[in-house]
Amino acid sequence: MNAADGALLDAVRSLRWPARRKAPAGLAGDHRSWMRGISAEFEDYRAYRQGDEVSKIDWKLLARRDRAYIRLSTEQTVLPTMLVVDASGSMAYPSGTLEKWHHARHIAIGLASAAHNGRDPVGVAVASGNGAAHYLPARNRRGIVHRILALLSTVEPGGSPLLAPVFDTVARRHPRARIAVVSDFLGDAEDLLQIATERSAAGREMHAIHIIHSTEMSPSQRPSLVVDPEEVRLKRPITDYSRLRYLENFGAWRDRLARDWRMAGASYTQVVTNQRAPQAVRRIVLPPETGSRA
Amino acid sequence: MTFLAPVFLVAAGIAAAGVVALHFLSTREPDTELLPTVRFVPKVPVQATTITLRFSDPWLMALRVLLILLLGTAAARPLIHPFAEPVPRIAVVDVSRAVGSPAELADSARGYVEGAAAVVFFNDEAREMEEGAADSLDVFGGRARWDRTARGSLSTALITAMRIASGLRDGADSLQLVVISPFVQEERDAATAEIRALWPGRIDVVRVAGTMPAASETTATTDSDPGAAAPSTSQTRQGRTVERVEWADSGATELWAERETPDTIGAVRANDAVMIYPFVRRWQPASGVGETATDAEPKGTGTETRVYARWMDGEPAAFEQATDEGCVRSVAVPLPTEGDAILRPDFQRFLAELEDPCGEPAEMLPLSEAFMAEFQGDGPLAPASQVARQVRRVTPAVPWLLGIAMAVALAELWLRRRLASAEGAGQADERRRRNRAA
Repeated sequence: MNAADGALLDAVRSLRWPARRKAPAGLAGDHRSWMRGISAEFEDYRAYRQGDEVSKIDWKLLARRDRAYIRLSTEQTVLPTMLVVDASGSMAYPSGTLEKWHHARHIAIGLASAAHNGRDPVGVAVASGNGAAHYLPARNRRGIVHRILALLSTVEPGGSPLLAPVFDTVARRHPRARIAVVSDFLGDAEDLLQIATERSAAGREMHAIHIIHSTEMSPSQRPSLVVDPEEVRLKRPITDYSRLRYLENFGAWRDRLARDWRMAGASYTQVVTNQRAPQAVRRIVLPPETGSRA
Repeated sequence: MTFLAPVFLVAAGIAAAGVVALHFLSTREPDTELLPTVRFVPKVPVQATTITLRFSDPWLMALRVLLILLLGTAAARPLIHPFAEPVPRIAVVDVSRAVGSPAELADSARGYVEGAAAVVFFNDEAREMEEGAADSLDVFGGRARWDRTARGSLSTALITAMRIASGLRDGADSLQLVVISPFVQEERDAATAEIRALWPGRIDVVRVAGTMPAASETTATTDSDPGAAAPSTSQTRQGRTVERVEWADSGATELWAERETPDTIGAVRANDAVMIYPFVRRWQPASGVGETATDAEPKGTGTETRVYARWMDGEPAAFEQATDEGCVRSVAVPLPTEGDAILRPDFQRFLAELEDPCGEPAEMLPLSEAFMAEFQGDGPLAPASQVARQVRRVTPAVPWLLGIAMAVALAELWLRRRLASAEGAGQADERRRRNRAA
């Protein structure tokens, strides 16, 4: 863990990641569950029906009203969180500093920390092109964030891995989990969106965190030849004209991507590398009513 | 090695120099930068030309230069003479009906055929024997009966020999031409002397025994002695001189009758002499004269009369009557009066033919010593430099050069693709190294 990682963890230490939907039933936690139970947080009364446990009858109310009522309360549960991180060649940008990848890594670590602060199990799966398996299942134990940090530190982004299969595998292994995808969505974005749509329709909470480098948002105005890091043969010149067209095309694509993910029921957040990672994490984890969305 | 079209060699050299120069001008892409979102940049051409001060792709350049030089060399049509002889010999062997003894001919010719650079057999056509000429000569010499149907032609033989000589001249000092033949009259024609004059040296002549004409070939019959097998007066008078020449226009009209309506005809022929001129034909053969289909003497004349010349439509234009001293020729051809027709060589030849010996041409008689002396010549052998060079569209080296050029072109294509793929792989490796270093 370097200084930047430590500063990030300090910045998000008090941050929690509340669920945006009622979570499936599970262990006791901070999130509201679909289930109603007998916790201390009162929610409502219901008339006693034959078969209810007698011990749940509110005896004081029975004495006042002369009718039997059952006291209902909201069940609190944990929400497992899985982070799917894209480590393709397009994330290794710029090639000298890998700023885009490091920013994505910080976002993932910040989200993991925020989830873990709420006592939620958290894990990570990395889609990388070097063939090595980078996967940690969702765990609630102490130090899981540091393990995630250590795992992400060993990843070398490169190649052209498919993100959708990794996403699908994570969704199957963790049927209750909230899934956050940290990617630039320059790979198999269509397949990814389709799977996310299906899972979201099934009640799962989905987050799309779109990592964009500041140079991608505003390429250099110096004429040059730009090359796709994942497809060497794809070469295009940057001129005044082509730069203008690029900005139009790229902006239209981002808008379309955000609309598609939101229409799929997922949360979409665009993160540019010139934004500080803690602030970006805060924007992601805070509910839409209180956080500013990109 | 000589080149028929050396200009292509020069052009190939210039083109090769251009290729070398072009390898200084390398088409280089501008500085590249990685951008993951490059797919959103519109498609436009990406190449720019810059001048470098070093050779780019030297092996590719070498192959291209070699390819151009090979094509230029092939287009220059090289002639390769690996075994050129200083004095190649061309043996011209007569195999016509004039040869009296094939065995003698074979014996006489064998020494010249063996070791000859080229051998030509001729009769009415000439054939260059590519190989096995001595064996062919033995076959001809061993024949019991010689094929007498083909007439020999010295002109054809000389033309063929000169064509072959033009292919042997390169690399040679002189050329020896040897003609083995009986040299009889029928083998000579009007062009023989002129063709002979084209050979720039002497001709070595080997004269072999010829055959005498058969009696049936020149026998003519008369009404008084029909079917007689004895030699005719035509045969007996051969070689005698012309006593006089009579002209119908000058009053010698014994054999001629005046036409009712003179007409115009374009040519007249006497033996080998042909005169082309719009003659006004005023005379026609008298009744009973020249009515036979052949050139033998006409029936009913009592004396031997033969058609000596004919108009172009076949009508007799001159008769020849035998006399005790020789013969008298009666000519109905008017002398041309317009233009320079009288001065033209064909008319002079026509007049000269009137002085030829009487009777049918003695075709199987040996050629005169005067002609043979002129035919043989007395100078040195023909210098190779004075023999016309042969122009051939395809030389033996051209297919090989084109084949090698095709192989080089394929090698160039293979190398170019390999270099292109290596360049792509190198760029990918470079990116990986930079990623690891970061």
